[in-house]
Amino acid sequence: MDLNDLQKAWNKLTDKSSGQRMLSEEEILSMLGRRTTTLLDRLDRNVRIGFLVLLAVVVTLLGGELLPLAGIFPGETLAGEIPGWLQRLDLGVSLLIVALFITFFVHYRKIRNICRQGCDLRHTLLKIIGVLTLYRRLFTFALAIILLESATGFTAGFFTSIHQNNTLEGFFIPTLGMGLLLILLLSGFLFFMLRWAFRKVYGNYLHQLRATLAELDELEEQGE
Amino acid sequence: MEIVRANQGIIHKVCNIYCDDEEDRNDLFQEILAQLWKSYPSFRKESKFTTWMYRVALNTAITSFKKVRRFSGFTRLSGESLLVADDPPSAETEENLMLLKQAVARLSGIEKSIILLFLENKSYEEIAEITGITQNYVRVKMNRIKKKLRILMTSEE
Repeated sequence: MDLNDLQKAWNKLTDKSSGQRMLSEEEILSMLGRRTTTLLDRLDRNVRIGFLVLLAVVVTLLGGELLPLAGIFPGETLAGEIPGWLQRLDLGVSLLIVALFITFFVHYRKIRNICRQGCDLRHTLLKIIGVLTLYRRLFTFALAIILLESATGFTAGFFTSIHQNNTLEGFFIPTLGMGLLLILLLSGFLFFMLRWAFRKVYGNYLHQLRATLAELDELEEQGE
Repeated sequence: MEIVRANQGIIHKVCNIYCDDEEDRNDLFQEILAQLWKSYPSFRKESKFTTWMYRVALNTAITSFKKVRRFSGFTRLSGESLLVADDPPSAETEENLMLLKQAVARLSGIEKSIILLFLENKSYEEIAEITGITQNYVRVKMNRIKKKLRILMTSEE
């Protein structure tokens, strides 16, 4: 069968078969009314919620760094009880979180500007892959915050406790090591659980989108 | 709304080529409709309305979350998607249509979109505009798809 014949056959097939199901304006409006949000809309919404939560964390962290504890609770100050290196480490962690947050936000804006609605297939694929990848990284980012803040918080609390009670003399290294190990185990568990959950829900989809984009790219590369 | 209603055949064609199952077709139809509705304010009339409509419909079909299921393995033919209301075709035409449908069903998502646009008499320029690749690459791809279709149709016979 020649390709021109194919075109004719195709037109005959599609015109008549689709003609059977032509919907009225009321039916279309009713369909639109029932429609929920698409996957990309939901992902986009989740990313925005994630950013809001992270922003709240960042503001809290910065507040904690900038507002002296003594200003809120007169007479209460822990600064002298926590070693200087730990205070600097805590500040470094907070600054790192702020820097990562800004990087993510800039990246997100860039992805959103790849194209608006109705752009070509290639850019649509790039956009969805970008949003999904960012979404996955946000998970890791959130976990990094938990890990870093838990570690510095635990260590700071540990030093304060030693200073106030002097009950851990002789057990300093084993207790500190055990505490940090527990935090690492908990964070590791959370990390693998989140990664597993993400792959379970979006893994195949992301793989399929990348394969589709690769098919387009392969064509471009071979044509050059 | 009126312009979408008048051109809804495009959505049906895209749904038919990407979905075998009636339920999937309805879901995809609804999804495409929602995307068209949402995207219409951004339609700048730089291209023809039907080109823009194909673009949104194909983007939605290819990037749909359910596509993993749609693309997995060979899409079986359903009798309904081949129904012709009146003027029943000759046995030979019907056989050719069946072969064409079966061959198209075995193409990848990108190949399906390109062959659909070709079968819909879209120019290489329009196909390039919809897919985001250059016209030369569309030609290269079209030649490959034609060869693949010939082989598939011959092997089905």
